[in-house]
Amino acid sequence: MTDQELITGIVNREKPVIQYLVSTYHRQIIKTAFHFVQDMDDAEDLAQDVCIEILESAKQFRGSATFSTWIYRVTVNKSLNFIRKNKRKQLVRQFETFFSSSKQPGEVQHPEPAAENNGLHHEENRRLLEKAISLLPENQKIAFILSKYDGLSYKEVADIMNTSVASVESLLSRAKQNLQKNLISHFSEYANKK
Amino acid sequence: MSDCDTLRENLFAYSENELEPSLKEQLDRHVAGCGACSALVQQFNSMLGTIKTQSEAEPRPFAETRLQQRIENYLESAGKPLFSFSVRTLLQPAVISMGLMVALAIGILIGNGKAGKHASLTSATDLEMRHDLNIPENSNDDLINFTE
Ligand SMILES: [Zn+2]
Repeated sequence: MTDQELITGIVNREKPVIQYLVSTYHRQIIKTAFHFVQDMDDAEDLAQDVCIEILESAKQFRGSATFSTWIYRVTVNKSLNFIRKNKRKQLVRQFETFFSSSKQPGEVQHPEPAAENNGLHHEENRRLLEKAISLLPENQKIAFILSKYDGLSYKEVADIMNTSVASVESLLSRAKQNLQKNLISHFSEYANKK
Repeated sequence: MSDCDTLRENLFAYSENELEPSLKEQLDRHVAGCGACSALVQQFNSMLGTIKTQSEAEPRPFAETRLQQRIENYLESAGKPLFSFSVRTLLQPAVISMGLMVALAIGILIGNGKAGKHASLTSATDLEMRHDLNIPENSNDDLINFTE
């Protein structure tokens, strides 16, 4: 089905076309939303919002981007809005999981560099990285997540962000600088040895 | 700059194997002999490893079925596409023409000599003032009484 057939079908509320839309894009939408919000339930809720937005604004789709690029844009926007609205809720959640999975909170904040218990350390590492990513400026965050988690090419990320490949490279470079700076400061044992 | 600092400055690129060969070799040699840097690289690599597991996470079973159902529910309830579209397209011109008729009626009333000094009032200003003063748009009360 071409993008134009898809759009026409959606605008005309043709049931098989809408089913095709959900069937073809639900995985992409849920996965991308998950990479931003880090929660599968929230990602599924967001996928519903994204699909409804697509249904409601398909009429305005001008075809300057591909349909897939447009869906990515809507997904990123919905996810960022969700993060903005739920900042407090997420902080509480992070705080709760932070302490619930660790006997001694101090250990989580200053994890041992040499991972003995891989399962626990994996979860700690995941949360540390999630926290560090959440502190990135929004554009760096978008470029980093779409590139590293969604595995998109610089060109694809540039299309979604409506910018140039050079800008994406620059955003990624700054994101990496910020992340390594932030993460190194967490590795206190390393810092103490310095 | 010490090799420890150089590593810290280039940690991401080092872990992703994106450094130029000479710098990579230099840091490889350093990491092999520096416990702190070796531990740092190990920690950083396992942290980057979490990106892979997160990016491989799949939607839960029947996510598609649930989403199809939710979209169908939406279309059946709030969406009501065909109905709302036709109502909207019918109503919009109707509202506009009703508004124009009211404006016209007020304009005629004002023009009928009651409004001598206030002839410069546009119907829009008139409507605004009526709204501010809480006078129904279609009432025969004249604004003149209030503005004099
Ligand atoms: Zn060192």
